[in-house]
Amino acid sequence: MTLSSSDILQRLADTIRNDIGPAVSDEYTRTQAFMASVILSKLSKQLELETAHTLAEQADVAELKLQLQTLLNDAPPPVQDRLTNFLQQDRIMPLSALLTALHEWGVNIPEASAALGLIRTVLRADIDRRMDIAT
Amino acid sequence: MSKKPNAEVSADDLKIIISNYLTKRLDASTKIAISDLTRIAVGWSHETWLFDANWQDNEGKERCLGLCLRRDPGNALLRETSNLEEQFKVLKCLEQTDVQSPKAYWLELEPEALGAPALIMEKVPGECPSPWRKDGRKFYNDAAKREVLPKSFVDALCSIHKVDWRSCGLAFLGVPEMGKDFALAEVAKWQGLIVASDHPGHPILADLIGWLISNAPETERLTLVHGAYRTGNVLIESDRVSAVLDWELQVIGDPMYDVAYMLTELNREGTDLLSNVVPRDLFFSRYEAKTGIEIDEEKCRYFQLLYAMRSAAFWMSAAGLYAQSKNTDLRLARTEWSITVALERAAQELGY
Repeated sequence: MTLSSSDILQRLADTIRNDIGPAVSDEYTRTQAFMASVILSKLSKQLELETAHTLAEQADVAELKLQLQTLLNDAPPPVQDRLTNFLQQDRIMPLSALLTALHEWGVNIPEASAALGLIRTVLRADIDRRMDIAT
Repeated sequence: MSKKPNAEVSADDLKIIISNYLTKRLDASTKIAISDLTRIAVGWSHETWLFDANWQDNEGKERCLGLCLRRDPGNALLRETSNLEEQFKVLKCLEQTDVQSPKAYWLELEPEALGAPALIMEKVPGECPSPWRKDGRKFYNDAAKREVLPKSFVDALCSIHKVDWRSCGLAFLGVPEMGKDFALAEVAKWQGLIVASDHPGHPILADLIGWLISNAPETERLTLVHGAYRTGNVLIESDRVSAVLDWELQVIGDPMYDVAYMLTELNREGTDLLSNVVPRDLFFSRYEAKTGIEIDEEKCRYFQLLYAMRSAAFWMSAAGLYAQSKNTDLRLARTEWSITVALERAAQELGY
């Protein structure tokens, strides 16, 4: 039987929390042990979910690209430039620059508002996935 | 004794350093003895130590002075936005006002005197239960039932907002123009911390910042603003606020910035009591009556989103310190996931 990397990290976290931490008398070091356990636990969860999360993000981004291409066809150059950059990627991070450009263009403009709505749907899904690990 | 990797001296060494320093400063006829030196385990910005200085004065009389030392280890959270010199000046200005704050005694910017840049101020009597701990929340809940602390807590905030900041010299903090200047300056300040953190961030943060810039409210009245007024940042004695602490984020600005911090759910857990101790109705009626300032809930909503940005900036700065190997404290590494929580809250506040 072989443990997955995620399982090994979780076991390490449990050992530090239950066996090593309580045996440490120094307060600062004991807190550090507890924090190490918390971090290992989160890394374990992150490793476990990484593939599923990446695939979900890429699927969301692929669909968003199609929607934004049509919607922002006549957007001003700064928005177009950021959109072009986003279209070349398969992750959500380039959306930061596009969002800044959309806000500068003015989210009361119907196309900008609609684009913002579509992007926010994708961001909500992304932050929900991240919350699976963070909490 | 506890090991603290970023402290430059041990508690025993620090006792000697403080003793030597105070013996010169107080012009004592005998060597000053330091007792009850304790590091307070709260706050991630400056090291805070409490102690008593004991000596014999020139007439042979035993003297004891309770003091608080704040030291800048040079690698702590908020190092870009908080400095000891400003704290010292603010405390000095507040001594002329009704705001309950510790008396500031000495400031040493060069590390030679106290091992690191440091200020020494009065140790004010009182306790500071943590609102993030179960026993702390019980303390505030019980105090709320006795109905004294809630009023005192509101009154202390009112005294801050009623300070004549020009006449007591606080204009050095920077005075924003009326209009959107204050809100936009705060957004820019926290953007600066985000940039300094060298953290990649997340598109929700870009959305939030874009929203904050587009929707910046007008400030019509400028007051002294504490910037982090909540339980946990005040000392309490006999159910009354004995001192307002943590003068690290103060600005001259819109009083709704502090009011929003009172109203936010971030500062209370499992209770409707504002900041764990004040009934909402009491806060509104007492604050408005004592200050003459009407609470603008729409503006408070804006500032609550600004706090979401500020929280994200704090955590990004903390995670950045660890990532850049400037600080080895694992509590800072842990904040990587706190960024997610702050941004999730921002998304909710933005309506998604």
